[in-house]
Amino acid sequence: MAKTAIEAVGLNKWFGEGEAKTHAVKDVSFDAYLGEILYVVGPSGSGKTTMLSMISGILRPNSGTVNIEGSDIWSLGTDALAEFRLRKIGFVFQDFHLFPRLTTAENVAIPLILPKRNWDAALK
Amino acid sequence: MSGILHIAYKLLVNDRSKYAALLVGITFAVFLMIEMTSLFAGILTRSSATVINIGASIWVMDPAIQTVANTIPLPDYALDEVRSIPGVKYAVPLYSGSALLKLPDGVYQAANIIGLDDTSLFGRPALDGGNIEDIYAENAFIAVKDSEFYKLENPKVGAEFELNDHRGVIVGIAHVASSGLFGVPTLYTTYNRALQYLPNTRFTISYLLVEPKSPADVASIKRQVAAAGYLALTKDEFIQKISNFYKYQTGIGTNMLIMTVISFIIGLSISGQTFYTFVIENLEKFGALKAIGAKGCELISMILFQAAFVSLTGYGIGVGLCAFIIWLARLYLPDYAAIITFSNLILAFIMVVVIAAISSYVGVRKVLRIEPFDIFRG
Repeated sequence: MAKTAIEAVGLNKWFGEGEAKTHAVKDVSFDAYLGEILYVVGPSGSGKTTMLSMISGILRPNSGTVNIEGSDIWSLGTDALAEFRLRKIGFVFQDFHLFPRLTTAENVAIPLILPKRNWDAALK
Repeated sequence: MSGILHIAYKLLVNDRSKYAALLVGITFAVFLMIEMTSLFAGILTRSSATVINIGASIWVMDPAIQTVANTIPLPDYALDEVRSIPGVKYAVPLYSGSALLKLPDGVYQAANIIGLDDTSLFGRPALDGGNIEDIYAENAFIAVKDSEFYKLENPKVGAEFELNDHRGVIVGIAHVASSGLFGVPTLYTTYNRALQYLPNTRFTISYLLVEPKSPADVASIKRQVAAAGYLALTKDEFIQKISNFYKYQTGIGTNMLIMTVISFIIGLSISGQTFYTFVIENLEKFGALKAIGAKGCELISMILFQAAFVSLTGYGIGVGLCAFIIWLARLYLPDYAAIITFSNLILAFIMVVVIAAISSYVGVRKVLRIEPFDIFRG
């Protein structure tokens, strides 16, 4: 049986308060396994980005847990969470957010440069 | 350089228009700050030119003296009083006054006249032409070849002039460490000739120049001179007293301070605003780095590095530009009184650090507040 990569339990996220309160993600639970390709499909505004942000350590949920490799990522401190994103998560931003002042190779190498690797070594 | 700082460096210098604007702001501020303080330092140094050039260890004067330019004559017996103080190796009189010279072409020119002790010639300048013994010749004067020399019509040894209907002859051309502040040439002669040629009050000694037997005697000499009703200052103390007069009792110090503060504000506003705009425009890049996994301290180090790099580069260019402008000004304006001192450089450096700190503080606050989710969402 494939090993569990991500275990999301009871994720909830809402924005705003009072009448303006919008529940973006409500009671979402799922398991994703190593080697598995998982598609999240839904109309615009259905909460896909919000859910991905919560399971990747970018957006703190109002309730629920995200366990990756046996530990709840939202129990980590700020720096540990940043380290987790750097080591475990790969992103392609919706707007790409490339650095126009850097070359293509340098843009691609940023996740290798950030863990204090030598600039030239990271570019190789 | 670590990878994160390398990214910061590339983000900064590859944005050429912003980088140029930041450099111009810092450079301009540094240039103005150093130029203003250098002018002030130059004026202060020149205001003490006589003290520096004569070089006596202790100067005895009337307690009401504020600058070396304004003398209050001491009675002749003061010389004997001071010479009798234990610890005094020797004491000699000095005449310092001004006169109106009539030059060979009929032009009248004001000049400083320094009368040196006839016996020792203590405080004499170094000669470039002529012999020092000739100062004892009839009507002899030594002209100082400083930035005001041309006002004497560039005299050579043997040139003549008139001073209070007395004939004067240039017997030597000398150089001194510092030119005067007031734009008039300087002539040296003997003390007694100065008294003969220039109208005097009842008392005639401008200053007494004292050499102590040892540095340990300075304090007791000062005490005993004070007990006699006069003021004894070491060379450095006298220079400081003159500086204080120009700093605090004329408008020069206040004006220079205001100009320096204005330079600082201009530099801060140009650099601070440009750096703030730079950070704002790169905010989503910093947010993206944060989302990828850059820690808060790493983002802070990026901002601080960028602020420090642009500030130090601008500081270096500003100092270089100021030195170049002063050099250029002196080529065409020999009287230009500006001296770049270590104090000026340190002051400007501190101000640049403050500009960098304030600019980066604003940037850091913005960057730390950005939420990676806002970047991720697009």
